Amino acid sequence: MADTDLTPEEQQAVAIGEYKYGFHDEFTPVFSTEKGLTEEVVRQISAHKQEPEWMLEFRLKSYKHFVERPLPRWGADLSTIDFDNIYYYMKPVEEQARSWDDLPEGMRETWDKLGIPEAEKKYLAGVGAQYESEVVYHNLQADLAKQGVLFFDMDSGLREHEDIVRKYFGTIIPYNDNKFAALNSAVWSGGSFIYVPPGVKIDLPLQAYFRINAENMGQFERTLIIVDKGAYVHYVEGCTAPIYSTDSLHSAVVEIHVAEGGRCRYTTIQNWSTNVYNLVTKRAVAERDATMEWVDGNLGSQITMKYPAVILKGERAHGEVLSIAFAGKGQHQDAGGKITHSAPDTSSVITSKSISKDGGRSSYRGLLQVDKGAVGSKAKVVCDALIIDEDSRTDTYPYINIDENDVEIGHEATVSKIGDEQLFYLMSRGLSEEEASGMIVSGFVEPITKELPLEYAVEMNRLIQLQMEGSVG
Amino acid sequence: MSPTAVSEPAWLAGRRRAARDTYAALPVPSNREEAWRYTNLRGFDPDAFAIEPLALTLAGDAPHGVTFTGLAASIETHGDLLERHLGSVVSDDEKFASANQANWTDGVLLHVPAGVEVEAPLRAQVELSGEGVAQHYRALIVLERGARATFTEEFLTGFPGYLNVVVELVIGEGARLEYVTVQRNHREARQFGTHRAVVERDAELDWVAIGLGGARAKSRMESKLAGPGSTVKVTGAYLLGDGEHADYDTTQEHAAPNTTSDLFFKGVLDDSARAVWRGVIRVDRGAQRTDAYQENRNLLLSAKAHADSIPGLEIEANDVRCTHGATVGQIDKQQLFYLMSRGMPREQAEQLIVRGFFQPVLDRIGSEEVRETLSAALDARLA
Repeated sequence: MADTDLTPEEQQAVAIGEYKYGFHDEFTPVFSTEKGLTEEVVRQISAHKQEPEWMLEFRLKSYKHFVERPLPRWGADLSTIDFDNIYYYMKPVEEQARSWDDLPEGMRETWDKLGIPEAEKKYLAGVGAQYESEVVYHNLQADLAKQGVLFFDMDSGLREHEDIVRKYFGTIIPYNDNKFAALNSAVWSGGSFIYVPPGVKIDLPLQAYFRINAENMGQFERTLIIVDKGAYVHYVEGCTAPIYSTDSLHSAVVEIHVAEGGRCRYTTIQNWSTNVYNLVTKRAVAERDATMEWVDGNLGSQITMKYPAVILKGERAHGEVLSIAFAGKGQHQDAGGKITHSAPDTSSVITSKSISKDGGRSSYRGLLQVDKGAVGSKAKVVCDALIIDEDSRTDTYPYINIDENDVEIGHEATVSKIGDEQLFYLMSRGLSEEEASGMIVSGFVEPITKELPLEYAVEMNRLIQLQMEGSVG
Repeated sequence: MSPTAVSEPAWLAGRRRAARDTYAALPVPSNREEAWRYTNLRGFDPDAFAIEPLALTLAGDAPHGVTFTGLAASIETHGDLLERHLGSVVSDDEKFASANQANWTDGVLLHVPAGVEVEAPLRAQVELSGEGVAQHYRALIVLERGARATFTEEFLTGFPGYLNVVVELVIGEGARLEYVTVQRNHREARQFGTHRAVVERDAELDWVAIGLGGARAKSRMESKLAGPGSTVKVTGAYLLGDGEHADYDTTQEHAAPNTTSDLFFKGVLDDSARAVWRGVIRVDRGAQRTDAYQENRNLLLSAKAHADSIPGLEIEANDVRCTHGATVGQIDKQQLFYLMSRGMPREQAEQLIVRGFFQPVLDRIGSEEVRETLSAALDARLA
């Protein structure tokens, strides 16, 4: 760990298992809207990006809906968000950089701390890193381009492939889906646009690192992934954000379309600093014989509300949500998954693991919907929660809604603490209580970590060990 | 609209007045409220039903010292007991519960003094007296320290009407209550109710709820494990046919350490029947070494049947074991094939499978009499 670059306070924060990536670089954005959100701000964003008229209209109607729509009355407490005290758009550099050397010094240092170049050297296929609102670095390797794979930041995607974007944008998550999807639709900036042509299987995961840097900077990235017939892609996003004293808002929208026989896996490790509101809408449509998998890890943020969804639209489509949440001091992780079975013989699995500690609260909230006519559907939901100490809390709200009788649906959930017997066994082998607890927790989340790319699994285990330090007694 | 105008003690008149105000201030619940999301009351106006005296039958031998009587009659004889306990378990802050407090005409008082064991079950039967009629039934069951009893209540409505039910169970230290509540209502009858128990130290509650029909029924069934070492077992079985709708809203609240709760609900839905089960296990801060379980299984016999199953956990203690499960499925085709290959007609084979589905529920019922009653009711319903 690169502790040496941190201030004494930050080093202490790391030592006591709090936020790890709490550093902050100075930089000056080239363009920024004023604080707060008005119709004028929305117009400015669109004008600055020189967008087509239809996108401006989409943004404006989204803005209108955002203003009219009340805050959700369920889930986490969102009443403390001050929408007038947020910058909705900032542009950090003038042009997209082509290589690492073109990046501003401060940014490169930040990424070095996060370990991106090493990761890329190893096996990254392409990196789009979002620093504030624009993707400033984007490297699409030549062989991908040759196969016809499109991997852009969303703004460039709109400019260069307007026809594809227009066909899918806002169709899976309409602008009026919920208040925060409406907000994103009004002010979105950056994110990824990926198109994988029929039959193309990308072996290595595509990755993008996201960071929020400026204080009170909302980040509203918008991602659209289209996996054509028989194609495959694994997209990985990792989020880190520096610590600030006032709250930041992150509200992304991710839309994925998986065509017949295609497969998409989308992996997120969210480790926002513990003052960020992370309110994200993610939804995928899987056509006949297609597979969609969400792997969703929520470790950071103050409040997360995120329920990745799969609509199983075609026969034999398969959906999976693997969710892990870690709620520490002052955190509320309200996470889960939504699966809609809309066609016959579709199948789905939701697996959720959560850990609550130091007064943190983790909630599983899920919806399993089986539409009429989705005969032969099979669905399984498994939620396990671990509570480390008596100050913490866990909730499970698994909604199940079945409109078809020829189905097999199962749900189970357990809540437990670290088993005394497990602990005793490991300690009798010479491990300290702390090491033993850490090991048991790692074992608890193992069904999720084993699905992650190696470097993420290592990172995840390290983060959990860090969080578990000083947790027993 | 008070049917109980005869001179009541001031404390009761005061409570009825307050409840009437609460009732007037609360709207009829709509689907926008989370608890009513799956039970639609559109077109139902509780005030359109004329409140009539309760058609109540009590049966069973209460030994000396045990009070088992109509609630209305006990106002005079057991005023102190009523004043202390009535409304102490079920509060009036909900539309139907406040209606009940304001309007209850009769019901049951069962009081078992400390250390007394009542062997034979005590029974209450409630019927609707006519079409378009509303009846408000209220029961207060108080078991003092170490007492034991079995209480069975049955709601039998031969007419379309509206039944409002509030049952309060006070189970003292080391006491044990077997409580059975059966709905066998008319296809167009409605029943809304709250049943709630407070279970003290080392006390035990064995609760069985049976649903065998009705156009709309919603029952809140709540147990509060208030004392250390207390245990609650809740068993539910429902068998619903065309147009029938039952909604069970269960809460297992663990408010003390070393408490155990075990809830198991099974339902079979035919034609356009619809069942809702929403269950919450709540473990309060400090309720360590809680062991809580909840499970709901639904068997759908028709393509039009529908089941919503919403388990929930809210846990604020760490040394706990809480588990829940829910499944929805149809008759296993292999089981059916096996039975039919042995020469059994399809209908009979299906009945056998449904009986098999309910068997684990029957096995949980301690009282043989209750088990046989349920078994007979199932046979009658399935035939």
